[in-house]
Parts: sequence; structure tokens; C-alpha cells
Amino acid sequence: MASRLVRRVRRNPARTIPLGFLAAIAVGTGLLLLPVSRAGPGAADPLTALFTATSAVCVTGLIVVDTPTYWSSFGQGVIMALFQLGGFGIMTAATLLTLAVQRRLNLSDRLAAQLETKSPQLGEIRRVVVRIGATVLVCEAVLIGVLTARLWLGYDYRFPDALWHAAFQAVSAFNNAGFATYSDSLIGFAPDWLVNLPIMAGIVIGGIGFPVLFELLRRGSRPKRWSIHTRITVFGTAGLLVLGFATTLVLEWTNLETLGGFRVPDKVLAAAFHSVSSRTAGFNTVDTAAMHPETWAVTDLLMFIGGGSAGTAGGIKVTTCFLLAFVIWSEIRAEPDVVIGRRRISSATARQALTVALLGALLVTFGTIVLLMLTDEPLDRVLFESVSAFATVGLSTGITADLPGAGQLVLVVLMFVGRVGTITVASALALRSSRRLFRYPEERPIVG
Amino acid sequence: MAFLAAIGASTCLLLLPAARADPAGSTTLVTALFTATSAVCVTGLIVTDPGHWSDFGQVVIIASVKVGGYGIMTAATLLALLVARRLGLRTRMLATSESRSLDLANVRTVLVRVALIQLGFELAVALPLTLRWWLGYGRTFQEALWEGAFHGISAFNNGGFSLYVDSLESYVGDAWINLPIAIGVIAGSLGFPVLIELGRQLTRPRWWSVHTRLTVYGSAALLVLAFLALLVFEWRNPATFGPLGIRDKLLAAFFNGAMPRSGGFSSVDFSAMHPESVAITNTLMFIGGGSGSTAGGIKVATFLLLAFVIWSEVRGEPEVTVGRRRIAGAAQRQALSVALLGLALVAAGVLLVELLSDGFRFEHIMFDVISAFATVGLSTGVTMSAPEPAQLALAALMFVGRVGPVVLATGLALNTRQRLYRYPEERPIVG
Repeated sequence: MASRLVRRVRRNPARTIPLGFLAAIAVGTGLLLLPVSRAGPGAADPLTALFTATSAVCVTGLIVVDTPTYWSSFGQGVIMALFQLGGFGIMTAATLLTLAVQRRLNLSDRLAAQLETKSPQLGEIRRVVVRIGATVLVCEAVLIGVLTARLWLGYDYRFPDALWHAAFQAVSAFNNAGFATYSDSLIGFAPDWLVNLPIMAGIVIGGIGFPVLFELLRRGSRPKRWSIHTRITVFGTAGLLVLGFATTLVLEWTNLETLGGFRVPDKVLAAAFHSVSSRTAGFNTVDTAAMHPETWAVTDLLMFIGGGSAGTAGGIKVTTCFLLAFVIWSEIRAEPDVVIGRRRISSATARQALTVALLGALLVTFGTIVLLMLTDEPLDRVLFESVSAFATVGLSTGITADLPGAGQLVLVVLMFVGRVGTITVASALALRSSRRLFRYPEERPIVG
Repeated sequence: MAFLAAIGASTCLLLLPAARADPAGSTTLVTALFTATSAVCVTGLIVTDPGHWSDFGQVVIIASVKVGGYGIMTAATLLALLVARRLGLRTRMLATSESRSLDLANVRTVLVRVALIQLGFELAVALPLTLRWWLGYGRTFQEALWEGAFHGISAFNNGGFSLYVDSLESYVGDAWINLPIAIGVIAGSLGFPVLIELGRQLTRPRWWSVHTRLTVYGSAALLVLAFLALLVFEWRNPATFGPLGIRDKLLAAFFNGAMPRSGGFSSVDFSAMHPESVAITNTLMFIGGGSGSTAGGIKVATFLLLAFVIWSEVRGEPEVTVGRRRIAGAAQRQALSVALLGLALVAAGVLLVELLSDGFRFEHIMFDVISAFATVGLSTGVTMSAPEPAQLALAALMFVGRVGPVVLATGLALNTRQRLYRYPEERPIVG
């Protein structure tokens, strides 16, 4: 059964994975439509249920209704199960696809003997799934433990309450979902290091991607022996985190509605949290809607880039972004090949990165323009919202709940395509190749 | 360097008292510098009412536009020729570079031909404009000639400078004014190599080089897209197309749809447009016109090259082919570099202007920044009322946007380095 599924996934990844996600969303919508899911009387309306289910399965975190007051405990449990399932699904699917890509390429290029990628030569599919499951469980268990202790001892929660809130937030953080059981997300915990740091750690670990995690566990202390993928992801993530931290801190330092009212250490913590959260969790400890437009612009950029490949994070992925940067750098230095840290990148890979990035940009532009037509909101807010949906972040400038039904549907589509689109497009591109027995003569249009 | 010198000279001339209309007034250094940069870079963004300048000042401006337009056309064409030569020499054995558009004999031919073509088109645009202003609006012949010549030169060089403070908004329904200017802008934005080739074999599209095909068809498609988008989005907007008749709506949509190529005149108020029209116009301005032309932006050919790269990738082709011609990996990488560096520049510009100014809407800032980068000259009013540091940032952006892509692309193409070894290949996970 499992192997048949895997064979199907491998034969046609571009179709099977979206179907799996669609099924999960459908089931989630059905469950959320039950009256027992709703806190108040009556059942949720279908659009709200659909939006929430999509947001949860795609581990986004955008909401149109207030999670703790609109949904009952059962409904919140459904949501938590959905993002746990979605996060696990995306991690395994992406990792297995990567394996399939590398297998296929290995077969056709075996004579060239060039692919010596170390990360996922794990062989057995089942072992991969089990390992991912184990990693997820361990990380989440640690997070839950720390958060429970803090809520129980530090905030006088009853133990079951502390456990419930900690579990929800921890799972949400590790899967980069961004759902919270508090109406104001984590704004109430803004200056609390013992809540912020574990959640930040969960977000980063969940978002960095399984292949990287695994390689880090195996050869953590020897960066020189990491694969290119791990090096790009780790150093790129670190660079982007610092960038986001520094810009948020500087730009919002005096903004009274965000960082302005905090003491200096709290400012540092809140800026760091925002930076981590934009890749691509979606919690917030300050009011995102009150930030300066320039902070939004930087956040847009960070969200669009997103996290590591085959993790729970969204966006075009750190590797994709840095691959393109290295292509440009090589071009400027006039290297004949694209070289990253003593390894050559084939032009096929560079073209795939280009395709993923530009199709993503196209999608965001398209979504933004459609949303602009449907609402009267200004461009910066709409852009933020559609980048947040595409990269499955979940930060919001507060307009999602007020969007008309059609606008919410646009966001649903963006979340879904943004979630499954990037990985399936990338692997489908890598898996298919058509041969031509002739070549056309070369010609050179003028560039620039 | 030549551009800097031209900007310097023009700034000095504009600072002279004779350049001001009001002898008692004064011209600040920033205003003169901005106007000179805008003129030499054929942008058309303005920080003062055109009435601020005397006739002498206007002549200085339009001369700067003409010099700037001529300069960029010849420079870009010669650089493209240089690239083709150099690559031609190196790859002669492979007999690859067969670009027919660039087999011009020598530099002098190019210089003369560009000047002739420029003059010819300017006259062709100026003539109907002069007649219209003379016969239709009761101007004296001298006035009409001056206005016709000014707008003719401004149109073909994609300058976007106008003698009126509201650009051409008072002539929104006048086809005799709108059409010549729109055609001048489009012709100017195709670029010299394309114009030459069109002149030689206009009727045989199958013989055109890939570059000409990309530019002509791409420009046509972008024009149609802009026309339809503006028409649909602005049909009911009372501040723009709403009060116009159907014929005028069509004309205004065509005119304002042609301007992002990157003319910079406007016959309706861009700041009153819906955000979706502004967003479409932003995209079109960023793409800009043809290579080797007076238009700015990353250029139509660059943009379409990238589109074809994606298309080939989606179809799983082993190589990128455009109309039965293969595109080298180096050209793809250059296109990528030009486009993404342009994007980075615009992003940096938006952030900078956003920091330096206060109280503008994000979309308006973005619009004016892209307009400056792509040397378009359309404005939502941010430029005119922004504080001086922000204006200086825009001036810098115009300069870099003007000479940057051309120089960068050539530099990339000419610069090669030999390596006698290759590293082993590795494949990071994408997406």
C-alpha cells in the first residue's frame, strides 16, 4: 500500500501531492463545518471553514475569524491536527520528491558520476518517513515541555490549561503555522524571553528543512564538509535573520505603536522575534498592522524568500534565492561556470531556480492585482497580505478578515498554490526532460 | 562619464538667471541638477512647473533631451556592435553570431545614421503637431512651431518633458496631438538596431533577427495589454476616463498605454488612477522599451528572454530556443543579472525614498521610483513635492537606471575569464 503510493508519487508528483492536500483541506473544512467546532451557537459558514482549513493545512496562519473565540476546543483541536498533518505532509512529500529527483538524475547521469549529493541518499522511503516523524515528535515534545513549564509556573495557569496552550503554540511554531490560541497572537508575551526563545527556535528548526536538519545532526560541527545545499541554507538563513532583525530594530525603534514603548532589551527581543516569524511562521509579538510601510517592504522580501527546502516554511526558499544571487555574482565575475564554494552548479539547476522565483513573483503580482480590484485597500497592505498568503506566513496587516468573499477565495488559492506549487513545480521540472536530436543555430539578442 | 559631463553643463546653464522666467526668482541647485539629470537621461520627471523656465531655459532642456537621446542611442548601439564584433571574432569558427542588424560598417556610419533617423522621426512628429497647434488652436506660426518642435523632440527621445504643467491633460481628446506623439514615443522606444532592420526588410518578418522579432512583437503585446488594462480598469473612474466619450476613452487608453514604453507624457492624472492600473503601469515601465533606444527599463528583449527561459524549462527542453534559434547560456545569465539587479535597485530606491519622505502612499512612491529608474517620467506627484534628499535619490536613480543596464550588459558580455579546471557539480534542492 505504502509502496504503491510512493510509486504513484514518484511517477506523477505534480498530480498526487496537490490531491493529497486537497483531500486534507476538504476533510478539514467538513470537520470545521460541524456545529461542535464552533464556540457560539450554530455552525461556521462554509467560506470561513474553507479559509481556516486551507490556512491550517498549508501551515499559513492567516485567519478571518478570531481562533480562540470563534472555534470551540474541538474546533481548535481540528485546526491543530490539520497544521500538524499539513506540516508533516509537506516535509515528507518534499523530501521524498527530492529523493525521486536525485534517483532519476542519478540513473541518467550515472556515467557522468557527478552527483555526489550527500543529504538524502537514505535509501528506504519508510525510513525517511519514520525519521521525519521522530524528528517532529522530539522537537515538538521539547518545545511543549518548556512552554508548559513556563505557562504553568510563570503565569499561574492550571496544569491542563498550560499543557493545552503550550501544545498548540509549540506545534504551531514547529510547523511554521502561526495559529495561536490568543486573540492577539503572542503580543501578550512580547517581553517574555522564556516564551519567545523556544518558539523562535521551533520556527527556525522547523523551517530549515529536513535534509539540512539531518545533515546537521550527522556532521554538525564541521561546516567544511557540509553539502552545498546545507551551507547555503544555514548561512543564508542566518544572514536573512540578521538582516530582518537589524532593519526591524532600526526602522521601528521609535514607532510608539510597535517597538517604541519597550525597554531596550525588549526591543531587541521583539525585533528578533519579528525577523524569525517572517520566515515563515506568522506569530507576532507586536502589532504588524501598525508598522511603518518600509518595514512591511523588508518583511515582504523576507517572506517571499521564505525558509529552507523540504521544511515546513514557505516562499521560494533560501536556496533558490541564493542560487540566483550566485548566478549573478558569477556573471559579474565573468566565471565560465556558476560556482558556489568549490562546487559547480549546472545551468539546468540555475534555470529551475529562475523559473521557481519568477513564477512566484508572477503569482504574487497577479494575486495583488486581483485583490486590488476587489477592494479599496492601499497597495502596501494588499501586497503584504498576498505575499503572506503565497509564502504561507500568516502575518497580516489586518485586512484579511475584512476582505470580501471573493478576496478571501483569492487568498485561499494563493495559499494552496504557494504551498504545493513551488515544490511540485521544481521537482516536475527536474524530473522531465525531452530530448532533441537537432540543435538550432545560435543567435544573440541584445540584452539591456 | 559623458553623461555626467552633459548633466554638469546642463545644470550650470539652468542655474543662469537667463534660464528663469521670473528674473526675481531663484533656482536652487537641487532643482537645476534634477531637471538637468531628468533631461539628459530623457526621463521627464520634473520638480518645478515648466513655467519656471524662460524660453532659453526650455531650449537648454530640450537640447539636453536631444543630446541625451542621441548619446544613449549611439552609445548603446556601438556597445552592442562591439559585443557582436568581439564575440564574432572569438566564435567565428562556430559561425554562430549571425545577427544581421549589426553588420554596419563602422562607427561613423552609425553616428550619422542615428542622427539622420533621429532628425527624421522628430520632424515627422513635429510637423503634424505644429500644423494642429497653428490651425486648430489659433496659435501664431512661431508659437506653434516652437511647441511642435519641443514636443516632437521630447516624444521621439522618450523625454516626456512638456511645456504645460499638466503635461497633455488638456488635449486628452485630440487625436491630432495624441497620435503623433504616441507614435513618436513608440518609434523611439523600439531602438536603433530594430529601426534599421525594419527599414531594410519591413515586409519580411520571417527574415528578421531574433532581436527584432522579440522587440517588435513584445512591444506590440505590451501595448495591447496596457491598452486593454487601462480601458477596463479606468472605464468608470470619474477622475480619469469616466467623463470622456467612448472614442476619447479609446484614445486616452491608447495614449496612456503607450507612455510606459517609456515616454512619460500623460493625458490623464496618473495619481487619480486605481491602484490596479498603477500596478500594471509599474510592471510595464519596469520592462521598458527596446535595446539601443531612448527608452529605459530592463528592455523588452531582456524580459522576453527570461520568459522564454521559463517556457523552455516548463516544457522540459534541453535548450532555450526562440523562434528556431538557440539562446546561449551566457545571454540568459546576462538577462537574469540585468533584470534582478534592476529589481534590487528599484527595491532599494523605494525604501530610500520612503525613509526620506513622509506622508506619501506606498504605491505612489513605488510608481515614481520605477518611473525614475526606467527613465519614463510619469509621476503621481511624489517627485514634485518630495523633500530635496528624496529628489536627489531619484536623480541618482535616473542616472543609474539610464546608463546602468546598458553598461552592465555590455560589461558582462565582454568580460570573460578562462579557467583551466572545473569544480565537481553539485545540486542544491530548489523550491
